Amino acid sequence: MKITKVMAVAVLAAFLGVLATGGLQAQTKEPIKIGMIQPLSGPIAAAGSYITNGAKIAVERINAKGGVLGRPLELIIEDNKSDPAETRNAAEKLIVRDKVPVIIGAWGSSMTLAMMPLAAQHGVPLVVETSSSSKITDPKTPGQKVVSRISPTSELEAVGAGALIPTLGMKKIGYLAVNTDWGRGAVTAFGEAFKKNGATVEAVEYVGQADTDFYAPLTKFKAAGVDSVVITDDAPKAAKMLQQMKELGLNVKVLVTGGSAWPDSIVQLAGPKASEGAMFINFYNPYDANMAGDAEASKYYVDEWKKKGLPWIGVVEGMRGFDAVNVVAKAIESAKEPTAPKIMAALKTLEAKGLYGLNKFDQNGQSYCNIIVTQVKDGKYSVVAVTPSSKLWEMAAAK
Amino acid sequence: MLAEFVQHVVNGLIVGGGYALMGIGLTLIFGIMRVVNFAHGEFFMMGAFFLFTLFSLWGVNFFLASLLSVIGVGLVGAVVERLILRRLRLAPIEIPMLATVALSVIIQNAAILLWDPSPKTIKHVFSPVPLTLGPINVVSIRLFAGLVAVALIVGSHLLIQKTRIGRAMRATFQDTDMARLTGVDVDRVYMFTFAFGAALAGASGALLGAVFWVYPAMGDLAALKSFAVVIMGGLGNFLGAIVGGLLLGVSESLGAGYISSGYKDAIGFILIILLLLWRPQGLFGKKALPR
Repeated sequence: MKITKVMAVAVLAAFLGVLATGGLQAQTKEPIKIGMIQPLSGPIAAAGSYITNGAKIAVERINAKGGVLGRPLELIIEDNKSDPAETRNAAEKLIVRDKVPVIIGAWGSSMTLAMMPLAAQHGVPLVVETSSSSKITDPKTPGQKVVSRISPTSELEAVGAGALIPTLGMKKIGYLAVNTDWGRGAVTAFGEAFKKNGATVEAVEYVGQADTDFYAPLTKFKAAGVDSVVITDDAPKAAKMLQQMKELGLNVKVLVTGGSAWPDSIVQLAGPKASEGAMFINFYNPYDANMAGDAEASKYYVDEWKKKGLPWIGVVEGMRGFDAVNVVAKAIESAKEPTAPKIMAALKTLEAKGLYGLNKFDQNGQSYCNIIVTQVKDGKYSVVAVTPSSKLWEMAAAK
Repeated sequence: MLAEFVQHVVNGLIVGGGYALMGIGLTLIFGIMRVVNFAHGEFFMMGAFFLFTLFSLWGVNFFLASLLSVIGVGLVGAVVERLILRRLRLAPIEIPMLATVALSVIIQNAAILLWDPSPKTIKHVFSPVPLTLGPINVVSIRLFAGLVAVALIVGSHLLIQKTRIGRAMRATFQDTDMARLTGVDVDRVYMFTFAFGAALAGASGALLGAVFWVYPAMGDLAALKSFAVVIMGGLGNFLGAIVGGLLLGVSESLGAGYISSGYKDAIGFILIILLLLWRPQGLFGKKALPR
């Protein structure tokens, strides 16, 4: 009895293991492994699940077309539990045990920063899909040399949105940011942009990653008499902040940075009333394929997302995973062999049109994507202004 | 100025009511059963998800759904006690503790599989327009949460002091062997205690889930806070859990309001360290006697 039970469990475990790695699909050629680290549990697990879904769509699309170098791609996904230390452990597992030649990750800036030195030590290239702290592509940061980042820095976001500030009438700003490298970096970057454009930041408040109650900082903002609130945080928390602003009777202009919150997600999470008029900095427009660098890929991605019945509010976040896999695939293609040093070299000269815009990397491994300012208007998605990826590349070249 | 202060205190008291409910559950389970329940946050999370499923997905009446959710979590607690903890009763204290750690991981991951990790809103029946009392704003759902928390705290107190099962619980708390000798069904007391503690955590989760969010990891921070509350109030002490919960809620709110919200969680824990330096047994705890 005992033995049969143990056997059953063992068989089940083996079966689940096979399912998890996708090994049931009969593949004659050995797949090329791609490591991916995302928050799949913990407070930001939703974002991580969207990105892994986007990445899976890209892998399926590539494999359906015959894979890369005649071999299928295989994603090995690890959970960093929304925690920097766990991210480093996950990277170690991917590099040492799975021997992946490249890693995509790890959503949050603090998490990405935690695994960079380890990846550099092993010479494994990192494709960073979400993080926005400028530290990541700063040559002084340990491990920066293995980073290729497709997501924009907060500074780039500020360039795209900064010029809008005078026209929006933002004068006295309360800044609400998540207490991580991302939030702290954004406060510095946007603070400078606001100053340049004649607005002052009256108060800065940092909130914990798992916080849900923002009454205290918002009450403070109200007492300080701010006319605008700028938020750097993920979509669920931004939505809650908007709701609580309404609850406290704080009726001001709102700008949400970072690209994870967008009109549709906020309308669904906070309701149309609380989200009306709020603005967002986004990098992708799922309603207009032509705004992306690769219109055909954008259309395919959105169609697949709908077909799979994935939550619509995650489509803008999932794009990051989709683009990251395509960048990696293209790098492997031009590297001719899936080894870490070859892929790293190929990434340096890569040019890949994607959903972010034009993905290619400057001397510090930073790409410049589309910066789209969106707004909730009558409860619907609307675009306020677009700074295209191509223009940012021109500006960078002119410098 | 005064208005801002009062607003911070009111906000803190409402959140503190939720902490107190969590704390009472945890402290009863520890005090009576000597089980450090690391799955307490998951009972909190389950309360919120049951309410979300019953009310938001199946359309059950909000108040009935809340009641059913709390009962549901209590039943899960009873099953956990019967199937897992009862078998570990005679084991050293760390064994049931580890079992609850495992349980917490299993329940949280099951929730990710069942409901996916994206946060859910419970679109409750209360108006989102705040009630204004002078310069103070309170949304009715928060007021509701606060009042229900008070009612549940009073109810728990009455249950422990005035009912037969409450008397049995107190007897078991004082001396398990003696209670058994005088005919108390200790097994039943343990099962009831664990179910009751779990249900209180579930109630807290359902209330705060309706105010804030529902997501699988929501119990992590809540569990941490309830441990803080219980340690502050004195392990196993009912009154301590209430005072500890309210104290933590208000000090977090004031700290976030007047110092910095970046230090909100730190403020609560600094308070605990200071308090433990002064009274190592907690606010209302008795000095531990050598066994």
